[in-house]
Amino acid sequence: VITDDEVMLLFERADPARVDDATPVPDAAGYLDTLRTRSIDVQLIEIDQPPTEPTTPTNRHRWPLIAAAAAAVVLAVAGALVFAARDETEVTTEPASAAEEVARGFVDAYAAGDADRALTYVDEDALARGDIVGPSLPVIGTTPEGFRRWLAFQHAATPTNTVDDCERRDNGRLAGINLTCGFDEHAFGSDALGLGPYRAYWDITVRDGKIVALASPNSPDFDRLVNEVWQPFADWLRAEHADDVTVLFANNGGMWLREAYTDEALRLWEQRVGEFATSRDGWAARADAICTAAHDRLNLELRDAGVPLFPVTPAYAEAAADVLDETVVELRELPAAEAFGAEFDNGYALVEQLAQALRETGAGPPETVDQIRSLRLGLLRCTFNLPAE
Amino acid sequence: VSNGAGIAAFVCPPDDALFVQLYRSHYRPIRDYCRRRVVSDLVDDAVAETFLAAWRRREDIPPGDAALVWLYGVAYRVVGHQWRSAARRRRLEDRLRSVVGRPGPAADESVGEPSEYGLVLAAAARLGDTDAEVLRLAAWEQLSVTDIAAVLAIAPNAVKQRLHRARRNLAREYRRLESQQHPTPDAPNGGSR
Repeated sequence: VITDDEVMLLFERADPARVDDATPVPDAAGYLDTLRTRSIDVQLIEIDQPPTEPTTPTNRHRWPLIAAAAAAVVLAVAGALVFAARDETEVTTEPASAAEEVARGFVDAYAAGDADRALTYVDEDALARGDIVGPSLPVIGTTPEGFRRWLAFQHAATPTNTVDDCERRDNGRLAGINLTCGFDEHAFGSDALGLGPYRAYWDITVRDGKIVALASPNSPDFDRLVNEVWQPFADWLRAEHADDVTVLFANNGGMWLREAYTDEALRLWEQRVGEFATSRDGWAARADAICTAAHDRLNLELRDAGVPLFPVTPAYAEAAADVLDETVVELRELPAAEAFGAEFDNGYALVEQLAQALRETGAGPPETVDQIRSLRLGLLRCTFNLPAE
Repeated sequence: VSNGAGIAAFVCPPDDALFVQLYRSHYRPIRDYCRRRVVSDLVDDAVAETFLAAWRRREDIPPGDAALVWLYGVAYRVVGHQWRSAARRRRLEDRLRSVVGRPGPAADESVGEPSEYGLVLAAAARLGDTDAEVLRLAAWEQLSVTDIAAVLAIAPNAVKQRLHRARRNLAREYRRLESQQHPTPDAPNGGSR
């Protein structure tokens, strides 16, 4: 007789993966990009709950159970059909305008930082399931208190300015009325720095007058937001307030840090965001964002006009001078703080000189280019890769 | 902040590197896990879903060796999710292999199974689903009782009991199938040879 151990050994050897897998490991960096893209809109898999076990008969003595289960299945299917019919009726007869009001009410409350009002639009069960704000929300976000703290953080770091009307869309993943609500937001002091706003959208599903699903805001401007304000803010934070990281971010035992929602953290987030917007680094970030946009604009104009980017021709110099003139106006739109205002004014004057030289001589003086770059005021890209000394 | 992953991924640039490292280190074992449980044309989807779910919960990933066990737990639920989807879509249900409780060929159907393996896999398919998974995790992923408990989110004692029961039942089912395949006149009760 084959023993239990022998059968187990046989089972071990029957490993379907015993044959080497010839599939190469996909490129990890590319995969990461894909993950970032997909993480916004892919259906959530509940990784906290084990999957439901299939009702597999395990031996031949279970016919009575199977018969009972079959009867239950018939009843359940019938019930589900009735429920689905009722649900479908409700979904199709629920006025879209009422759903839009719910969505709009939520987004308005979000924009105002009013968590209690926002919660009145949210289905409690959906919040507990983690369907509100989606998987990016830490565990604390599945409770009303967690939601309040999450919104307090959002309000401190990224106050919303303008909310558009909500529009119905047809590609929602849940039964109900699916809407997209667009809004413009500022982040990490972008409003004080004259940058942004950044466009973003909520994808909201409303059923029976409540929000049952709410994807984390999806922003086509996210990369711009990161480059213009988040990354400079994070760099400044690390350089100037390294000790704050332990307060502003939490580590729940995993490999990654996450923004913390404690009272102290929320207060500090608001404080540091405000300080960054009035710091020299904040203003350098502002100048860098404006100069980067100027450089992109110049490249686009040259490409459209068929002017080569190198060497510097009269056509190039003229286009560059025009763009720099516009850029200096933009840079001077907001006066920098007194503490470093003169420093920035000096930098802007040098950019002005560069524009003038390009217009008059057809070339940028290398010493001026060099001077602008050495100031470290975020004006480097306003020199358009012109030759330095 | 308007993104799907929170801002934490940007506070420390090495975060991306950490995930890439995790991906490179554990891609193969996770792929093998999926190969053992779903048909070959669903393996890529299952692996992708596993790492996607992991990416979205990356702040929960434990450091060190525990990360792989954590990923097995995610993969277990992803495969379970595929099963639920399959239950809703009969087309996929038909393509799922023994993990859904039916005797079936090995994960890659193009690989011919020796009959003895087919028999033991068929015997495993007759076990309860969690019992079968405990058995697979022990035999194929070579996990300890503690790690199996972490993957399935059940108590280690429950794993021990299930493992004991699963081994016994696997052998019993194997012998039963074997006797049906090769009936022996001198064993009228169908028990021993």
